[in-house]
Amino acid sequence: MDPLNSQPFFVLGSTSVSVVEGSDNSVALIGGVTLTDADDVRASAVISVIAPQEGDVLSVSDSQALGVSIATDGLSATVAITEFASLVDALQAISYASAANFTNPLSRNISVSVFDAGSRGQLPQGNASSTMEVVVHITPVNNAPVISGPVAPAQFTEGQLMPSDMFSEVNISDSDDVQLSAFVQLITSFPGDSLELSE
Amino acid sequence: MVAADGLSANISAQSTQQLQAAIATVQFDSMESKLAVGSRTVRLTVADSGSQSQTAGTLSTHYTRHIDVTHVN
Repeated sequence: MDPLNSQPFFVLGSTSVSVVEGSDNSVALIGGVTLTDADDVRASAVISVIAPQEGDVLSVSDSQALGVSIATDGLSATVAITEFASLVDALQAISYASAANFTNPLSRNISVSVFDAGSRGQLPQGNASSTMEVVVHITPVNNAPVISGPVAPAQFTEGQLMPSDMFSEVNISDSDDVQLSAFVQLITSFPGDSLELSE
Repeated sequence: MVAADGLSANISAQSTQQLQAAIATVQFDSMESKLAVGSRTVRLTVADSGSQSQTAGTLSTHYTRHIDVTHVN
C-alpha cells in the first residue's frame, strides 16, 4: 500500500494588517500561526506578494538568530524545511514595506503557502497545504512640496529700468504629486512696491 | 494672477515644470522715484493637491527671498 501524505494545516492569527507607506514603516505579516500535520513535524513555506508594485519589499528580521534558512528576493521569501516551531518563528519574522512615495492601489495581497516535508509518508516531495492570504492595507502619506533656491538676496537698484527676478533659479519638486499651485506674497513692502509677472 | 494690490500672486499650472516656469516670471518692482529705505521680503509657498496619494493637500515650507535695495545718490 502506498503511504498517504496528509496535508499540513495552518491558521493565521490575523489575515489583515496595516502599515504606513514607506520603507521605514514595515509591518510583520504573520502572527499567531497555528501549524499542524497529522503525519509530519517538518515543513517549508513560500510567502509572495501577489501583483507587486514598484517599491514593495519583503524582508526578514535576523534569520541567522532564528537558525532557519530564509531566501528572499524582495518580493517573495522561501523558508527552508525546518521543524514546525522554527517555521512559525520564521514566518513571524517576515515583514512588508511599501515604496516611500506610495500611490495606488491601497492594499496588497500576500500569499502564504506551507509545504510539509513528506518525511513520515516516505514521499519524495512535500505536500502543499492550502494557501492563505494576508491583506496589507497601506496608509498613504502626502509628501509636501519642496522648494529650494538661492539664499542670497536679490538686488534692486533705485531707478532701474527692469524689475528684478526673484525665483528664476528656484527649484520645485514633489515626490508624490504633480498638481501644484503657488502663492507669492510681498510680506515686507513699502508704498510703490509691487509684484509683476513678466511675459 | 497678481492680486489687485500688487502685493501677492496666485499661480496654478498643469505640471510641476509649468509651475516652476510660471514662478520664475514673478518679479519685484517699485515705481517710487525716491525709493523707500529698507530691504523687502518675498515669500513663496507651494501647495499640492494630494490627489495621487488620496490624501488632503499639503503645503511646502515657506521659501523667502530678501531683496536688497540700492539707493542712487
